[in-house]
Amino acid sequence: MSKLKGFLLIGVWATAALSFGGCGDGGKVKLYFDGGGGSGNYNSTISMAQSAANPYPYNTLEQLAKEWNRTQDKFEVVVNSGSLNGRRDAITSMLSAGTAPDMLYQVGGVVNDDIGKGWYIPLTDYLARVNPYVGGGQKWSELYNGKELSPAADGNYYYICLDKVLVGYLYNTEILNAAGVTKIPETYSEFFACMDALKAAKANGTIAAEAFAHQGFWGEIQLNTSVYGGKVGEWDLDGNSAVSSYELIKAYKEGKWRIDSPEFREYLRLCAKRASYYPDNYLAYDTALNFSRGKLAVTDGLGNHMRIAEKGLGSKLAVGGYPKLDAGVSPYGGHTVARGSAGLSTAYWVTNSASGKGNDAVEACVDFLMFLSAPRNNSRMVNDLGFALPIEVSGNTTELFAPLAEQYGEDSSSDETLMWSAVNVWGSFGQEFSDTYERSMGEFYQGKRDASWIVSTLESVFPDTVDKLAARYNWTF
Amino acid sequence: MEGKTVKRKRITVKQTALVITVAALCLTVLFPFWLLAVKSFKSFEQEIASPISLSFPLFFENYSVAWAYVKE
Amino acid sequence: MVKTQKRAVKETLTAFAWLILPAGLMLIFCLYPAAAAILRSFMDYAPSGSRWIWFGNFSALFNDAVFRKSLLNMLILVSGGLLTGNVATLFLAECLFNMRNRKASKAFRYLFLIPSLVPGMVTALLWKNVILSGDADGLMNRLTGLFGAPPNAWYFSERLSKASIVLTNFPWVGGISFLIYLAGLQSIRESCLEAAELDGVTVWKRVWHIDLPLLLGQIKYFLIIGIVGGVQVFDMQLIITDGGPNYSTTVPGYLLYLKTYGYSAVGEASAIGVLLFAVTFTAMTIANKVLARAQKDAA
Repeated sequence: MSKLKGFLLIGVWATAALSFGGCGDGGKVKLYFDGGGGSGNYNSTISMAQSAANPYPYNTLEQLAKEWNRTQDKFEVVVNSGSLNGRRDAITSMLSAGTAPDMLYQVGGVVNDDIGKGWYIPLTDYLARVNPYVGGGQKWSELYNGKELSPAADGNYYYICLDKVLVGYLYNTEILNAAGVTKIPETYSEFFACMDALKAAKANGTIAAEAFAHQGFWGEIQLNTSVYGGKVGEWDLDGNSAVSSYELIKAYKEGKWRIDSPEFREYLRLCAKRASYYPDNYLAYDTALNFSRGKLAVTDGLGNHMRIAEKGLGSKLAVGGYPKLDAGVSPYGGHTVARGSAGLSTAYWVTNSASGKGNDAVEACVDFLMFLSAPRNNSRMVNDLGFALPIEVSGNTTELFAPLAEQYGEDSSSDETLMWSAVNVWGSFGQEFSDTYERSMGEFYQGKRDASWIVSTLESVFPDTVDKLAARYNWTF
Repeated sequence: MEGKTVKRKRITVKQTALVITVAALCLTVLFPFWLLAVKSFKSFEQEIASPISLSFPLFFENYSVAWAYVKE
Repeated sequence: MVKTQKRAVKETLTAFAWLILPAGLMLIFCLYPAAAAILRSFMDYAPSGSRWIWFGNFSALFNDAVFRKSLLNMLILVSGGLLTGNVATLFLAECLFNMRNRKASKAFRYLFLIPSLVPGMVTALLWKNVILSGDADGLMNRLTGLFGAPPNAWYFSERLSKASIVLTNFPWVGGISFLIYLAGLQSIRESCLEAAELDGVTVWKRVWHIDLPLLLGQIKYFLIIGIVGGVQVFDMQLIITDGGPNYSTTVPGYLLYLKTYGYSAVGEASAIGVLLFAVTFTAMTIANKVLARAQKDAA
């Protein structure tokens, strides 16, 4: 019996020790911040000494959190030492258990998959409030360009973005010059001319490098918007110059478009033309490594890819936004799609963990996010890492990105410009459909299948995909 | 007597062949381990230049950074 | 009399009391997830509200060409894995067993264990980026290039992707399984082997007629473990191939993962889980029966 008592005593003692151990530090409630980032990582690096093994030392986000903590007497933000990096298997498990970080990083694209689960705090009302960290009584939403903010399927805003992602082509100027190309292409006519020059130079032995290989589907998204640009006016219902999933499906249900259309086939023709410059075995081709080694003339990528390529190529690297699709290349061309940046990125979500700590905690999280989005703090946070553009693009200080920041600044000030992903007829219908698309494109680019095969593959699953989405979000048309 | 030495010789040949086979297997199995070890002493630039063989000077910083992460 | 009875009752009660904790843990952590998966396989499951659709998930799966293809892929990959793994480790065990130089044999045993200390993830990435890299500079491509073959895309070629996955970790002997076979060989009675040697039985005949029949217990173990593991595994798909190209490496386990975490289709994912359980169970039972009969015949 006394043994049992002993065990019980130890149990009680251990429980007590554990529960008190959790909140020793001055009694402030801790709010955990996930770090992460769309094209860099805002968690602190292990040391601030720069070296070849630690090339991008960074701790500005943590510094900003400390500055904010000094102004608070009830809460303190703790930046986690590593991020979940948007890994959905870990994140969904933590969210359903209520143990996710209070402020979580993941891509905005997943929002419609998670609506109705009560995992995130809607930020819609907060966006209409004044951001105290910006002068002049500005509303929080006014920091953002109206075209860049996009609501979830239920009309609410669930995340706030803290940087702008760079996107565009990366050129090895040494190879381009050897092939006789001296100007970075600004239109697709020029781009294809550049490709032909590279191909010819390789054929006659002037250069040894491959012409072009892509690193992701960003270029396809820009081409898609370029081809469908003329439809935005017709399909966009809320006047934000972008077509949301709901608007696309409504237009589809009203018989205004289908996958099998002249536009989509034109889009596939352009994609195939672009892919005709890929190396053999392109699916297995290590694009980033070969580009860094100077064995590939052109690729595309985000800010992080540009910085890493810069390490290998130095001043030989030039970057430029995706060129404009001009009427000379395509009958659907002529629409301006913002160059240089794909718009807002690095989305932070206030999670159910924060609301579990009370409404005060949610307010504190929102306040911290407002603090981080205020231009003077935001530019520090983003520029010190140097993988993306700050929300206020003119605040960019990373030299490599200057041409992109300039292009984006120029384009986004015009009303006629469409955002990079204003219309996306394959990426707007959930992960399963875009996976199907990306996998079939792999076959298409290898020349194993033709455009009609892609069209019929997508058409065969599209009606079901659309109905499932509509049922899930209770959409009626 | 002579028959016996022939037999023993045959056994030695067989045994040598066996050891060589096993040694070859062992080297193949250990090859990824070699790569792992070699790459741990390379900087990004050295990795780009020669991914498979050792490159000098050896780059020890990978270990100091990794250790810093382990300590945390 | 009454006293001893009382004591017996008390002892039984105490035993049961001690059993409550492990039994409860079993219920919560082992039984509940399995039961929930079976129930969900008959549901259109969503955290906000599910409804019964009975065999709807199963019929959707069998109408899905990708799923049907994935079953065939799994069959090929599991068979390939079982064959390469067991033949290679058996071969190595026989080599080490027949090695007269005890010191060398012992040294090799240590060396062959080293690869199991490298995390599987690292080995997979090395195979993808260096050995079976699709680049013309890739190791295997340089090797086949010596014979004039054009570079292959290996993991990313529809024709070679499954073969590449089976080929990964060649020569398939690193790890502890060869030790288990070796131990099996060492437990064969000395007299049996001596008799064979005196009768002038060749090594091959001895392996076939003495060693293998006496190793059937170990083979059974590896076959069953191999089937259970092989049906569930999708690490290469996750790290390297993404199930492609053209679904040539997609296996049901990987679809289960995608449907759960990528597409929020928990019902269908559970249905895959239930099917995989049925497949594994059947395959295991058959393997067990066949080998038990072989063992009987051998004895």
